[in-house]
Amino acid sequence: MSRTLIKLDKGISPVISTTILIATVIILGITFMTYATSLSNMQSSEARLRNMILDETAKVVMYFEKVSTTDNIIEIYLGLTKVIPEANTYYLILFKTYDYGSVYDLSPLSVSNVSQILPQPPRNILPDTLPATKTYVVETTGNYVPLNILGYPSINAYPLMYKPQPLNSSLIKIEIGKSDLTGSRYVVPIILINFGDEYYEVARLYYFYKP
Amino acid sequence: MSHTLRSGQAEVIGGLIVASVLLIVIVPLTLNIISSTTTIGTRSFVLRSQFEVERWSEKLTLSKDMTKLENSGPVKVTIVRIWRNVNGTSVPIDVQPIEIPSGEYIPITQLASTPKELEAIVTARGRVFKISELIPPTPPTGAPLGLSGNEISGGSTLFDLNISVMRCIINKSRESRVCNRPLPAIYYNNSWWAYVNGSWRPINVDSDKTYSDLDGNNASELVVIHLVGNDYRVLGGTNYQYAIRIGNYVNIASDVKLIAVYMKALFKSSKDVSVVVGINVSLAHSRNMSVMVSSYAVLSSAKITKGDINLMIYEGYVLFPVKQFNYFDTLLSNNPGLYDLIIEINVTVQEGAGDVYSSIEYIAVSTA
Repeated sequence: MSRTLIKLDKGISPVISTTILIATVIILGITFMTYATSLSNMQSSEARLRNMILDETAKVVMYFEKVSTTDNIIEIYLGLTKVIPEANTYYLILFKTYDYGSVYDLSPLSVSNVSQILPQPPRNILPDTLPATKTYVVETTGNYVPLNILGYPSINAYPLMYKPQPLNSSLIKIEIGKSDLTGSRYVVPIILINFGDEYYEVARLYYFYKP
Repeated sequence: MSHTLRSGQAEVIGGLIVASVLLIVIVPLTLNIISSTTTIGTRSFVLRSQFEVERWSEKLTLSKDMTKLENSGPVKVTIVRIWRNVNGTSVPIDVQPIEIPSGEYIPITQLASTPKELEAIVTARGRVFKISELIPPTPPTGAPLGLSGNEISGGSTLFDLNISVMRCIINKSRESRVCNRPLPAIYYNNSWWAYVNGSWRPINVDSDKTYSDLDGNNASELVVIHLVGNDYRVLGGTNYQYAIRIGNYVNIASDVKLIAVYMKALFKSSKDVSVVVGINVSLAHSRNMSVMVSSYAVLSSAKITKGDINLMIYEGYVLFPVKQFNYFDTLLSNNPGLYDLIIEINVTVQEGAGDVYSSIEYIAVSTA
C-alpha cells in the first residue's frame, strides 16, 4: 500500500505542479494583459485628447478684424474662421495682463458686453461659469496648466456657436470699459474647446492697449 | 547530463515564447499610439501651414483710378465681408462670397459705389485689407525746390493735384461781389486752365499771365479765380479769405511721428495798400470731417506795408510735431488713413485800398 501511495505521489505531483504553474501563468498573463490593455487605453485616450486639441488648434483661426475706441470704451471685433469648415461650440475667456506671453500674469477681465455680430442675427452672449480646475491654458513651455493655479476658483466664459454656413466666418464684438484696463497693457482673448467636462485653449491673441 | 540540458532548453524556449508574446502585444500597441498621434498631428500641422501660406499670400490692390479691385496675389481670394461707412459709422456687412481668381479684378461698384464708402475688406481666410492701404501712392512728378523726390510723399506739381474742394469767402471785393464759384486756376502751356468738376480744362481768362507768376521765376503758380456768369476773374479783392482743400493728399500711418508740409506762397499788393496776410495749414481726415488737426506753426501776421516792396514770399515748411502733442498723437494714431490738406489764406487790408493777389507755387508733404 505504502509503495502504491509512493507511486501515486510520483504520478500526481507533476500534474498538480503543472496545473498550478499553468494556472499561475494564466492568472499572471490575464493580469498583465488587463494592465497592458488598461495602460494602452489610457495612453490611447490621452493621445486621442491631445490629437483632438491639436487638431482644433490647427483648425481655428482667430484675428482682430477691427478695434475702435471712444473716450471710455474699447470695441474689439474678433474674426473667427476655420481651416476646415466645421460647426463647433467654443468658449471665449478674456484676460488682461501687463506682460506679453506668460499666463501667470493673466487677470480676468470684466467686459461691458460680448455679442456675436455676424452671421446675422446679432445676439448678446451671456457668460457661463467654468470651473478653473478643469479649464486649461497653454503656458510658454507649451504645456497645459489649469487656471486654478492662478488662484481663480472659476472663470466667466462666453459660448460661441460657430457655424460654417452661410459663411465660414464669424464676427464677435467685445466692449471693454477703459477703466477696467487700468494697470494693464494687453487685452487677451482666449478661445477654448470643450472635451468631456474639461476646457482647453485652442487660440489666443493679444491686443496692445495704449492708454 | 542530457536530462539537465533538456530542462535548460525548455526554460530558454519558454522564456523566448513569453518574451515573444509580450513583444507581439506591446510593440504594436505602442506603435499604434505613436502612429495615430503622429499622423493626426502631422496632418493638422500641414493643413494649417498650407492655410497660413495661402492666407499671407493674399494680395489685393486698387487700380490707380480706384474703380477696380484686383487680386494681385498668387491665390484665389474670396471676399466674405466688408466694412462700410454708413452715416459716419463703420458697419460690418456680410456679402455673398465674391471670388476673385488670381490676376483678375472686380469693379469696386460690386462692393460700394465709391472706394470712399469702404473702410476694409475681409477675406474668407481672415485677412483684413484696409482700403486706405490699398490706394496706390501718387508718385512725385516733380520735386519742389530744395527737396529730393524720395523725401516727399504725395508731392507733385500743383498742376497734377486732385483739388477736390475749394472754399472762398470774400468779405469785400473790389466789385462788391461775393465769390460764390471759386476755381483754382493756373497758367500753363500759354493758356489758362481751371479745375472744373474734377478735371483741368482750358478756359478763356482776360487776365495777364503775370497773375500766375508773381515772382517772375517762370514757375506757374496756383491762383484762385471766381466765376460770375461768363466772367472769369482773378481775385483782386481788398479783403478776402480762401481755402484750398486738396483731397486724399496725405496718407498718415498710425505711428506717424512728424508731418511736414512744404510750401511756397506768394502775395503781391498795390503800392497804396497795407495788408496782413496769414496762412493756416490743416489736415482733415478724408472720410471723417470731424478728425482735423491744424498746425501750431503758422504764418499768421506777416505784413506788406504800403509803399514798401509789394511782394511777399513765404517759402518754408509747416510742422506737425505729432509725438510732441498729445492731442495730435491720440487723434492721428486712432484715425490713420488718407487726409485732405487744407491751406487757408486770409488777407486783411489795414490801410489804403487796392488789389491783392495771392498764389501758391508748390505744396508737398513728407511724413516720418
